Amino acid sequence: MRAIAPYLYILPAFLPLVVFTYWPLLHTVQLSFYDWNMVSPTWHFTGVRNYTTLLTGEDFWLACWNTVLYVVGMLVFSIVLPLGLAILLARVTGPLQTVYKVILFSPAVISFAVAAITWLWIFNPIDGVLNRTLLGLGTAGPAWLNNPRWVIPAILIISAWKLLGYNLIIFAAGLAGIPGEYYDAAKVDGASAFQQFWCISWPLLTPTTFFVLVTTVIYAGQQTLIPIQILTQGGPNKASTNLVYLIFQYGFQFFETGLASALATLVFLLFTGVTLLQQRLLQRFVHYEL
Amino acid sequence: MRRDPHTWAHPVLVGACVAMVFPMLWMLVTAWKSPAEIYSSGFRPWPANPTLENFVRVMRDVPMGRFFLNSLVVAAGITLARLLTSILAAYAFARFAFWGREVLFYLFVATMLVPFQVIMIPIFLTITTFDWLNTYQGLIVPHVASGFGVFLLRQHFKTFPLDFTDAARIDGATQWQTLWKVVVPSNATAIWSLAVLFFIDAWNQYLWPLLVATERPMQTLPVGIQIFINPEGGTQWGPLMASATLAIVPSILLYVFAQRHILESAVSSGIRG
Repeated sequence: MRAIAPYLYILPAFLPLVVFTYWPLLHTVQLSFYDWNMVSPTWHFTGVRNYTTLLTGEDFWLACWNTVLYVVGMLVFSIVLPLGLAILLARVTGPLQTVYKVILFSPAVISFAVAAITWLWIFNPIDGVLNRTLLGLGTAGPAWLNNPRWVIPAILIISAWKLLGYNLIIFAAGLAGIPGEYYDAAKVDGASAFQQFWCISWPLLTPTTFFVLVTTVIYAGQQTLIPIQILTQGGPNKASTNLVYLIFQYGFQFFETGLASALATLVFLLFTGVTLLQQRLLQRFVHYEL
Repeated sequence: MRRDPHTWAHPVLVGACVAMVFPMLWMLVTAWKSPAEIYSSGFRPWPANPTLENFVRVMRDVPMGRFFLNSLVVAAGITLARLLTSILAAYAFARFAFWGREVLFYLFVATMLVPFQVIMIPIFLTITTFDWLNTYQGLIVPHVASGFGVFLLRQHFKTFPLDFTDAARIDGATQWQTLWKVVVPSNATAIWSLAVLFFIDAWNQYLWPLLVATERPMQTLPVGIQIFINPEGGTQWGPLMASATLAIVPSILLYVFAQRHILESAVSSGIRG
């Protein structure tokens, strides 16, 4: 009894993870070698044909490119802005700092789906508050979500708005962890505010920055499926689609289960590869002390 | 003489706060406007004649109460189940020595690397096989375990002083009693924070309910209120914003009352969706 006790404690968590994570992962790889439409009783083994269909088609590469745009765009929005605000926030003392934090973090607690709905109204080309304001200022705004050139920037604004507060408090916690003596010593030596940031804050923040980097890449790569589905369904004319949205479309709109599974397998390999690459970079560039 | 950074820290931070709050505020304001005012040109940041019309239409046109109930049942179910499975597994990993412990722990942690979008098709097929489409089980069961929860609680349980549990064992308590009478109460803060995080995460879920709850009476709030969106151009903005306002009230209330928990646990973890 003593010997099996620990396994009994683990079982309630382990069983669901096997059934709803590990088995689906293997099943995805298996399905990727078949041609199947989700309802037909027969599966046709087609070898690697789903993969060649993907790699020789346009959709996959367009989705790849857009995924890169989403990730790079989010990195600019979600590292530079929150870090800048966190540095300013560190200069504010007392209860006001908490007030700022609570307000800036608030978009992070609401549903991304509901947030997307709100922005659908703000971005409305005719009656939306954004284009009305731009019109008042004398310029006509674009049709944001219906314009192939503006649709990704628009979705990036929504995603950055949702993620900003979260990254901000991570940076704020990182800054708070840097000992004040370092700054005191730098001030005695006459270092400017920028020198203090560049020589003390930035290198000591690298573990934090790295963490933010990883979560932001995951967020940009995966969570953007929600605003894409609600606001554009990948359009106009596939302009806003990305890899995870393509899995969703192949799987649940076109019922190309095999093709969707092949794509899911590639996406899994790609994202895992990026995460592992980031781990390697972590070991090279992160400073834990000066 | 350099300018004091405090002089511009406040204006920038206040500006950022306005930018963060504005979308939610605009949703709230629109919800109280009459259709005539919504479509009239001009920019007024508050409703001229506040009206309940949109809220009345929401309650009349969609089963809003049912959506609330579904969201609540699903979020509460997922939260409780995840807490229970995480506490038990974390305790075993922190306090028992057994064969395969390290490997099993890595298997738990590694699940955090698997994006849900990659495995959603087989999960959907499994739920279909169980005949669980449009049921609470179908919405809840795939989410009852959390590699992150096990990881976080193990950290807390490991740092909990052994003296306390040893004392309990000497007094004749079993491992099971020690867990529930000593370890869990002593780590109440961490467990509460995790519970709040799980609840918000589950309350906000969109993709899985979209796939599983295809029938209106089983839909949760974020999915159900999309009925007011019409891609062809006939979106009813008033009712849509009113229903969105109602949908985020619980999240905002929870945030107001548990903001310290939420901010602290967000630092040590992550909020998704």
